[in-house]
Amino acid sequence: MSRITKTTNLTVVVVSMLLILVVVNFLVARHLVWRIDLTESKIYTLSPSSKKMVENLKDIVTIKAYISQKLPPYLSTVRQDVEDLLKEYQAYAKGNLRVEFFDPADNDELKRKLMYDGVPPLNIQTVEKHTFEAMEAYFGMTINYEDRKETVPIIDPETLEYDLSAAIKKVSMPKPPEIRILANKDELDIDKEYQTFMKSVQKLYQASPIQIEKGQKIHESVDVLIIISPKNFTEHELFEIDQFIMRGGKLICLVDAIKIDQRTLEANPEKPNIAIILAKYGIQINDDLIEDMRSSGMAAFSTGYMQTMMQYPFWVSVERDLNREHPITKRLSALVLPWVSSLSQSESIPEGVKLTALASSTEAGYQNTAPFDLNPFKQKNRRITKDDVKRYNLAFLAEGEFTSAYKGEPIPKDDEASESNKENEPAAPPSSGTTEEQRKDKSPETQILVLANSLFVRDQYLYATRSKDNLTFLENAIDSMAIGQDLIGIRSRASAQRPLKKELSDAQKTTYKWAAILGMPIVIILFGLARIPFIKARRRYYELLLTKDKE
Amino acid sequence: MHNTIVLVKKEFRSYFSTPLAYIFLVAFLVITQWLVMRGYFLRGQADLRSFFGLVPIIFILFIPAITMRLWAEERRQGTIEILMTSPVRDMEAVLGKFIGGWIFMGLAILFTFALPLVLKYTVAPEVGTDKGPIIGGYIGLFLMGGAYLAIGLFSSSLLDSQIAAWIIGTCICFALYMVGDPFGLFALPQALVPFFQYLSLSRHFENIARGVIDIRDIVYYFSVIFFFLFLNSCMIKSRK
Repeated sequence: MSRITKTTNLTVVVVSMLLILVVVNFLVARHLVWRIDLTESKIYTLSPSSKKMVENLKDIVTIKAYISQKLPPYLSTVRQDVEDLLKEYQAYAKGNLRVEFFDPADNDELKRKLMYDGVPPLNIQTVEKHTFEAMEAYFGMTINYEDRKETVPIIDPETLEYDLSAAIKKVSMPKPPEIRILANKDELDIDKEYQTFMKSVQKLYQASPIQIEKGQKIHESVDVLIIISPKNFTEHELFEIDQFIMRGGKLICLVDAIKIDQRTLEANPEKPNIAIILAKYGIQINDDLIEDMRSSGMAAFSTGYMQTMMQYPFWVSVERDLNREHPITKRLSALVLPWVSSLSQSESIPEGVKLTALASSTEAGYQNTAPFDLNPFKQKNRRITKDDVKRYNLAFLAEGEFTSAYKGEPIPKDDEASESNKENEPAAPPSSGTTEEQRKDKSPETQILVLANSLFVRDQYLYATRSKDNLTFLENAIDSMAIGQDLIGIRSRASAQRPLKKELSDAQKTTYKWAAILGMPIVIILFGLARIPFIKARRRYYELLLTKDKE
Repeated sequence: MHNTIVLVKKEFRSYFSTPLAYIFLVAFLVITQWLVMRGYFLRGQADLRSFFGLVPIIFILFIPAITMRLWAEERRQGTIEILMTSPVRDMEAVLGKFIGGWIFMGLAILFTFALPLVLKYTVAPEVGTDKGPIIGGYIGLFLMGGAYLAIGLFSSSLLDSQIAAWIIGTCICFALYMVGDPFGLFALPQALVPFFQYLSLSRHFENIARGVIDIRDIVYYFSVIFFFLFLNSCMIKSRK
């Protein structure tokens, strides 16, 4: 065979083999779905909650994915993940989930429709022929069910499963749960100071701030009421909150028992009167501030022109002592609670009510009572002994049938309404509060969550404490109360961090470091040195054999 | 099959009959583990992300260095004639060298077990480590190392010079590693981007190192290994 023929044959064989492999890979990529998710929380597999949700769909949900064909490379890899996830959803939906892909590239009408639907074009910088150019790309989706529609404006691969499941849940629910936030409107602008929290809650629920206006009752359509940093309520307002619970409403209370001036660090007890009715439901808020000597967050303090980062025991970092049995806190890594007060069980807990501690300090919790000294630079001079410290409860969930705090008492009068009646007779409209006929003394099965701190989810402290789980904790609590525990599993599993032990000393760190770097190499060197005599002996043996052969 | 097993044993033993294997193992372990451990306590996270980010790049240099001599040495010592005239098929000879090298490389990867141990003893006990990405990362390294090894072996069969074989092996590994890099993909026509991304060794490794074992990634790595071993055997045949 000539050399040319040989080379041609070889080339044909190699190219054929390459083509076969390309086809096999293409077919496998297109048609074969088989994968094992080894991660602890099965992050890359559809969660049981999502599976259950799509399995139970009664009618067809249509997901319309608007993804441009022309995408920067880092987004086109994400496209594959999105397609994989949607395939998994479809596999469990028993035909009740339809997925359609669209590229709005040259379709102006579709672009206008998307603008209306809330799927904006992304302006992305890309490199074209060695120059930077701006390009417009779409990377969003809409979820449609009957006449309802939800939008995921920009697909975030990190939260896509949660976003999709939340949207499917929301469109397929007969009525989205209503969440209302009650705060002291004179001192706190919820939409501004709790922007991150509000945005996240509004993804899934109808959530907005409310006030109890002139003796009106809290509307019956409200499912969860969140009270954030309240001042004293009037007796009538307290009565309406009580009746909200008696009607089966669920309550989350973030109450500051100690008022802190965040510039001067002056602290004074100023417990709002909602604590009185909470005590009747079984949860006592204490007039203290807890320091944790073993597990505290890092805080930044200004000293003149300098800013110092330091461990600050008044910012309690709850890690080990999160309740690992309860879905709300099961998968959280750490909550950082700045200036938190402790909670205890009331002397007489109502019958049929169960209290669960969701978060506690470590055994090294120290109770500070008035007068408080929060100066971080003075803390080191104190002497605290073992007997001074213990574990303190920081978040309680009360569940069961509650008895009204106003049982056997007349309905308190609405002060504002009665004052205006006196001044402008007969102008004031009749109060639309709970009437004697409507009032209830016993609630159905419901839940109350209390945490004596409102700062931990405020935007400023979400940033300062660097704790992603602060927000997740509250979101989980709302999900659990509003729609059950379906979505908690999806959200919490993505937030798992793997921090190191706090108690590692410098000496231990150095030992681990050098043991890891040099341990195995030293063993290999010793093994090599030990083998030298054997190798030499074998070489001598072979040399001897060769010499004998030559002779 | 029997021939392959005999060759595998011979190849694996030959690594340890010279100081090369010891130098390779010690250098690989000290360099990678030092690079990982120097920032470990500063990052404060008990995972091996930095390790699995580093090793594929270190392997680009190290693996062609252990394969460069495999065919070149046979030629230099004149043993290739003995091998080629013996009743061993070309593919068996190639497989013997490859599997011997793969076991040696697997050993090198296995010797980094000190890192997962450090993770186990330093992680906060209430959270523990996530074993999925660690197991996935090690499987990914083993498969990716296998692909590098097949490429290195092929480049060693091309030339008599070991240095030239190392340079070619390194270049092919680097090219296949970088082919899916966004920086290079920007310049490509849009229609070709998914193809080049699929071709990239790094992209498939990233998938597995997340802790997800996907049939597509496995098929891809075995295709690369098989293709370069096949090329290798063709090359040996053509040189006969």
